Amino acid sequence: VRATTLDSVTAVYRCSETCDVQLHKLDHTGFRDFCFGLRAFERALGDDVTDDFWQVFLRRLKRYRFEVTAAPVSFHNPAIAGPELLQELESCIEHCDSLYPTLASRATALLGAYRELSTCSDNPGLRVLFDLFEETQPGRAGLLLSEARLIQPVEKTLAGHSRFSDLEVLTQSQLREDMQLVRLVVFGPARWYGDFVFSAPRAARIDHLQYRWIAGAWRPEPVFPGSIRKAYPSDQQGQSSDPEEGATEQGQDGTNGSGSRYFTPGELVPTLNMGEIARKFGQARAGTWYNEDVETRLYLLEGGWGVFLDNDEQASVLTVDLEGSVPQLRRTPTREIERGMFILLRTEGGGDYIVPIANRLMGAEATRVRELQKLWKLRLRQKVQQYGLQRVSEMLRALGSVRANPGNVRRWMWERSIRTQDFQDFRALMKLTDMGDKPENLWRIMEYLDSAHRDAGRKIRELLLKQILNTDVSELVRSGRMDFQLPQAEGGRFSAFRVERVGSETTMVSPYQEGHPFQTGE
Amino acid sequence: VPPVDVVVRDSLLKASIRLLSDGRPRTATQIADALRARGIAARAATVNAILRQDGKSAFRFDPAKLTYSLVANTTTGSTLRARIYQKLLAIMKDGRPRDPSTLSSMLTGYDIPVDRSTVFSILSSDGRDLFRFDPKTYTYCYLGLVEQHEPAGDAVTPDTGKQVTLGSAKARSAAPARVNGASTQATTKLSAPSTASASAPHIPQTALATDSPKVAPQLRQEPPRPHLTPLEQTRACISSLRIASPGGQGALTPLPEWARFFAHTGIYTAQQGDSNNRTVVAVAVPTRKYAAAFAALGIVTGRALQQEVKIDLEEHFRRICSLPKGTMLRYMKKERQLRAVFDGPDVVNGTPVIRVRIQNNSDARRYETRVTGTTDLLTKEQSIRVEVATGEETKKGLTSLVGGAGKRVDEKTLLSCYFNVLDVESYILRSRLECVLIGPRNLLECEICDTAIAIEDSNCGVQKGCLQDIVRVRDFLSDDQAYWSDFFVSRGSAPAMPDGDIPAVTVFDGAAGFLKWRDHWRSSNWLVLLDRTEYDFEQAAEQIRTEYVQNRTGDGDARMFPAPPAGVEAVIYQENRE
Repeated sequence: VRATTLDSVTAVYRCSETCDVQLHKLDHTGFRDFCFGLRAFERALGDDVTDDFWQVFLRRLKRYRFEVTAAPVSFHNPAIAGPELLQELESCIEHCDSLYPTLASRATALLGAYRELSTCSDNPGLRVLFDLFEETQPGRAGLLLSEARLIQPVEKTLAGHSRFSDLEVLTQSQLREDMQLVRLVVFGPARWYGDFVFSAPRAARIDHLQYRWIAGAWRPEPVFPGSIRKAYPSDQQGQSSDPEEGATEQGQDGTNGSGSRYFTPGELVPTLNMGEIARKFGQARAGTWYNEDVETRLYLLEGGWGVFLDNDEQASVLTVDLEGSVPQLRRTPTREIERGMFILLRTEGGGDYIVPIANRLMGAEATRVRELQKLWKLRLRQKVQQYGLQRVSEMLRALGSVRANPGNVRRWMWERSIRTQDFQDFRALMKLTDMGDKPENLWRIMEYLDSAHRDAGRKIRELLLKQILNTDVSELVRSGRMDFQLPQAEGGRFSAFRVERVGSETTMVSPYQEGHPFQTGE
Repeated sequence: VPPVDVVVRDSLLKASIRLLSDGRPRTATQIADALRARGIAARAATVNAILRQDGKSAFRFDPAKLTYSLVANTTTGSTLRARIYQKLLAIMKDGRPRDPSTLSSMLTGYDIPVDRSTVFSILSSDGRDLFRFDPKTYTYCYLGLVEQHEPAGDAVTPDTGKQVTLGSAKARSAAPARVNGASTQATTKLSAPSTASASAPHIPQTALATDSPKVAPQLRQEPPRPHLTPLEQTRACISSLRIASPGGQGALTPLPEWARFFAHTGIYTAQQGDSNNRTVVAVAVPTRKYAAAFAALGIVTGRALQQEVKIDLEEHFRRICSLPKGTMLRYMKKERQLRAVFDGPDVVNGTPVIRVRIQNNSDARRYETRVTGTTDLLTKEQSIRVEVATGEETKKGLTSLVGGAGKRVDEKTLLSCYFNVLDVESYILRSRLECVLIGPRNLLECEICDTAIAIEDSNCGVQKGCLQDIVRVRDFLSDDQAYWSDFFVSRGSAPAMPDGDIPAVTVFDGAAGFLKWRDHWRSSNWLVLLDRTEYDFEQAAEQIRTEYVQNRTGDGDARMFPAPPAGVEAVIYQENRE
């Protein structure tokens, strides 16, 4: 957090005192028909809605509906309605006539509605923005979007108009900082944003733009029971006379049937099934005795990325901490990773980036050390293959090991593990694998290897921190992702991602997947 | 009954008084109907709840007829306003400028609960000819003939060995007179070393302390603060504080309204609760920045002024005398805090004294082997300026020992001007844990240690310092100094849990610390500051709502709670103290 002055805090309280929230309703007949048509089609599918045949078709159309609702871009903007999307949709329902003859005509009509929109250059949101910024106003203004990936197409749309030259496209994370705006335009339903956007405003005026058929304009709600507070300026504003319009998420269950004239905000957000993503991308090799599968947790990252991170108590990941006066790079236990934190991942080059750097640090010694490491692990694997995990752990205990159990023996076989935590366990392993009479010597070599790995990690952290300190991290806060390029020999490209969601269940994945981000396609 | 805004509550009460002033009793339903006609939407249940709870002194409930009527002497709006005006006039006639918050709390003390804005309104309209508002200081000043009052304070006799009341104005002026007397006497009579002191072979210089704590002459000229309760004193202290520009240049500005709110919230939280109950104050704020820092200011100031510390001189002197030789001491001499060593008790011309050696060398460990430095002989009265330094006063321990030159206590004059009636030497010398802060270290340290403050007084001149000079957070102190607050990092791996003393108030600066460590602090009052922009805000707010339902044993006194600025929402309730 950058140095904050008392004046900037006073400005925040002044915004709370005076902020006026104005709702502007957008309309477009074609898009409205498409939105309701998609809803009606989905309900007409009934139980077939979960059929794989419809999954991609529905997901793509819903994504389009969401993105148009979330950004002031034209309906045919190539970033959201490219020609490849139309092709994909057409191929989705190619065989619909034979498989779902009763639904074919409705699917074709829906596709037709989309096809028409995808050639339409209208942009209702931009029209209202034009009116709002009719005259050039002094001071900083912001346009708030719910999705960082929509920043670029919106910026391109606005770029051609001089009246928007001082309008910054923002994401809500930026409003958590000390941002002072003269005017903030919020695009999309209020419930897509944190309540703080309105209840802790960073602007003297908020213009809220959303399509007419979406229910639930923002209204101040008490946070605590029996609370003491000063009335908001918005408290005095009139409420909608249409009860359905005031409906919120609660109205989503059944009461908001296909006949409803409004969409609840939650209905428009494409659903993300973490379990399904984990199943789709997690590739465990379960079943083999030698597998090194890792118990991980799925983290969804900004921009449609995901990553499996080791769920072990000792496991950690590099994080960028922006809370201090200067950005810091920390090793944070993966179990403490929460939504909103920034994690650093390698996004260029495969495998373990520490190994080549550690080898370089060890110089000529590296080959011999690595061979010794491989040798005792190979012999241990052979023993396990011969006797099984349980028997080997019993043998190790008999030889003086204190922590030998099937789980630990499996971990000691892994290529990534260098040595045991305790020398007694290591001595027993050396005895079992006939690695010589002097386990102390090998222990020292493995300690040397361990320290080389630590030095390599430290070196990379230093290089990354240097880069981070020379970068404007506000872009990271805005877009939720930032790349840092190191020389190839030092690890290549790393990217900082904002964590959007943390999976509730663990997934077994191969060690090569752990820590490597992938596109979820959502 | 749904939660009711204070604004709604207030207007409902006023409208009910007006309605029932015709003398005709009405049921809650009838009142609710009548109020609805006047534009106040309220259900019968809400009317019942508010009239029985907040209006119990004004309304009489007839359980047989289920009707409400006005208590005979309840004043209607206009007479109430006149009564407030008269009381304000009486208070302000002493000529002392006061801000609306202070006046509001003083009126509450006279059983006239009014909020600050009402005071503002009455003085600005009804009293526009008699009162002048100073927008720089946010205070009103009476323009009429000033009435002089007798100085307030406990009468303390200068008898040796009697208790010295540190929180009392008279104690402050009486004690130095007594000590000065003893000091002069000792200098005259003890010019030659006593038998006992002559036997000490390695003392190069023996001197009797001659810098007896004196009340700065200008402070004695300070006009008395008549009839101020500790709460009023505390609020007056906060009102007197100014913000100085970081570079020391530029004009001093009064505390912003929101900062005053947090300071007053701190004061409020610090004075709540008893041995069985504790108070939870949860506040949703638009930004966490500086909220905890100013709340800590209010807590520490309030506790210092409201919880009188009585030092039993006899007991204190006996305790120091019984210390083993070589015990490290903190010694306040003139404007300096010195690291000193206890060199045993002595008797000089029949007067018991303690020998306090000030080290010449910055490394205290050398004392073990080499005796150096100056020795001061302190009488019982002067021993109040000495306290044991255990090295545990700061978490850093004895890392930065102060040598013979000592540490100049720059904040002493600032503190004298700020507290006015408090013994600041004791404040600087003796640790007391009143406030624990749990939050992000970097930010909080910066906010407390880098916020430049000042006191501007016609007598003191301008005295500058920082919030840390008053709040005295143990972790942020540079060396072995007395603390009044402690800090724990909210996201650290080390648990934030008490390591001995229980503070009067635990301040959770943000959701993370509250969600993680709250269970360790259920013996103290809570001030939970939740930033609406935090990711964990909703989770922490939900936790407060759950605890409110499950643990609440009573409501807090909302009348005494400072009016929140826009964007701030607060809830107060009581729980059983663990």
